Amino acid sequence: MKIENTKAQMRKGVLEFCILSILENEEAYPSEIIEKLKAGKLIVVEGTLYPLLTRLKNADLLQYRWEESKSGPPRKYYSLTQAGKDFLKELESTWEELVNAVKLTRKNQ
Amino acid sequence: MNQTVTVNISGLVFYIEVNAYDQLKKYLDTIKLYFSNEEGQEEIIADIEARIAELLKEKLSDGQEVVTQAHVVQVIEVMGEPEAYIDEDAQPEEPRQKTKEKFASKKLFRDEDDNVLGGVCAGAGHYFGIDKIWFRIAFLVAFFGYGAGLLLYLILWIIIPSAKTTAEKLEMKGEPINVDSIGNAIKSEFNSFKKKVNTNEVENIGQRIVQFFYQIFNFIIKLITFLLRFIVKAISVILMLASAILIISLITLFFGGSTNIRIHDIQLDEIWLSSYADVIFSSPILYTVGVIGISLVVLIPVLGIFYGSIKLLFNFSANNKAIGLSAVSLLVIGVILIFISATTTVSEFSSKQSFVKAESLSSITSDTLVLSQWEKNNGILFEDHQFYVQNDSLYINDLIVDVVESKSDQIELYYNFSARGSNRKEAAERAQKVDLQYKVVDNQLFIKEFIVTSVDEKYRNQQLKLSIGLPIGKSIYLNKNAEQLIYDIKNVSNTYDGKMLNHHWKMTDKGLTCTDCKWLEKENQLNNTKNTEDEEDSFEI
Repeated sequence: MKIENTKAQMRKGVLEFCILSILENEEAYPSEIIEKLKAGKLIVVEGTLYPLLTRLKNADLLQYRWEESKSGPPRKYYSLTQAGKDFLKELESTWEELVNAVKLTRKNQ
Repeated sequence: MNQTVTVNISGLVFYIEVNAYDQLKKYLDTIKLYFSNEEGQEEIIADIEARIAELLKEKLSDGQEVVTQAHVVQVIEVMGEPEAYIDEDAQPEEPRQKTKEKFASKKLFRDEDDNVLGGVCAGAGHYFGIDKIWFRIAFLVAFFGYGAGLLLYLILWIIIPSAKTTAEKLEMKGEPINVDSIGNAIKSEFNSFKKKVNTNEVENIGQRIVQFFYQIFNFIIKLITFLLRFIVKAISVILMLASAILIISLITLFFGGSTNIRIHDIQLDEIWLSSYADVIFSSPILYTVGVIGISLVVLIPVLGIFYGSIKLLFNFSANNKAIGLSAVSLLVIGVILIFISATTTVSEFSSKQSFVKAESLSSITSDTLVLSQWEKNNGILFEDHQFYVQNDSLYINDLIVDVVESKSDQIELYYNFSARGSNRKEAAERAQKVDLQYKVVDNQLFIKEFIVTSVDEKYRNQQLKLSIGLPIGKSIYLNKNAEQLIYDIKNVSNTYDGKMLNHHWKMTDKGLTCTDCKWLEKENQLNNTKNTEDEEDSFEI
């Protein structure tokens, strides 16, 4: 049992939830997502995001469209698919449960 | 001055210093390797490259033209080394293993999923591609060499790491590490894990200790079971082979021999059970009955052992009551047949009678009689045989020759024949029909080792005790080859038979006295000196 493992597991789960949440109401390209995640100190390095986005996209939770950029290569603008929206709702309720569970258990201590 | 190269990153062109380029390329290669087993690897790389291009473009926006190493370092810092990525997999070290051991070579691990004790043997089996059972046997065997096996095992247990992660387990088995193999491995692992959970997955230390002893106990049970199974198999193989050989040899002995039952013209290779049987059993039928009885009694248990060992060896259970029942009844029949044959035959030996006669060898006038054996065994080597049959004659090796004082002034032969029969009369008649084979040439007496009778008389323990009567004053010379004939001849010096050979013995009123035995004179002298000298000096080499 490694502590780093547990932390990574927790962050990983939350990270996916956050990415989906960021994209809930507006589409965004990776740099924007990174900015928001960094603000929340959820990720340290940007490299983490790209494999996650690809996996979520491959899981049909995300979709993207290309858009030209003045400051560099074309950007991928990600948005939620219907499956992504459904999944996000599930995650939200799960999150509520988790928060409650954590609150309860921590109060007991 | 720095050399620059032109690169195309995600469709944008950059001038980049050579050392910066090297570093960037190395970074991208590492990422590629890191995601080499990842679905959508190319897309991830493309996205990352696009982001790198974007970042570099930002850095160069203040008028700089060339990408330097400092820029690259900053970009890598922002993007992060792949090790710092929050990974999809549960164990962050696993993907690193994946990249390192991409071209999987086998590694020695302990296989704790397939263990008796520490999984050393199973691991070694995987590593060498041999069935683990051989290592277990080897360790077991070595264990009996002053516990060397146990010590070695413990050392290996300590130094060999156990295969914990999926990648290590695949490495242990030398399987390629890719998405498919890991997926399969995890599936099978999950199944065995489920089993473990159901049986004995425990948490606290107390339970762990209990479990430890349980495992040791379990191991000992396994070990004993394994040993027992091994021993049983080994024994069954030995039994099977031994009984098969026994069956074959018994069949040839009993039935191969019986075809010669009427052949009396014996050649060396035809001396066989049947020719003996013919002169022992009063009728061939009785003999056959006896043979069948003995065959049944000996063969049935051996066949049983053979059958049982095959059953053991090949693990088939055919509990046929009919086989057991018929085996037992055949055994009983065999015993009855032997009993009939034996009692009938033994009854023919029930009575013993002797027949005595005397004969004068008046033709010998010399003072010295020479005793020799006549033509050793008719030229046939029958030394080990009690009797043999030749030309309707039965030759019996049951003759002993003694030398006594003659009742007259001539050399005489005193015969004492004896034989057995079912009654006294029969035995007495049989004793009379036995003859000694001998001849006299000048002063020499030649005697054959075998006494002779008709084959129809059967072998009924015919014996002859022959005493050579020697008048007082006459001598006998015992030839070397008379050794087989003479038996316990009394003499004054108590010299035993073997030493009496090749010497002259004179009949005196005290008994037989040696006339040319030098050692006897020496002994006499020695005895005399012994009497006079001190005991210390009497020791002779």
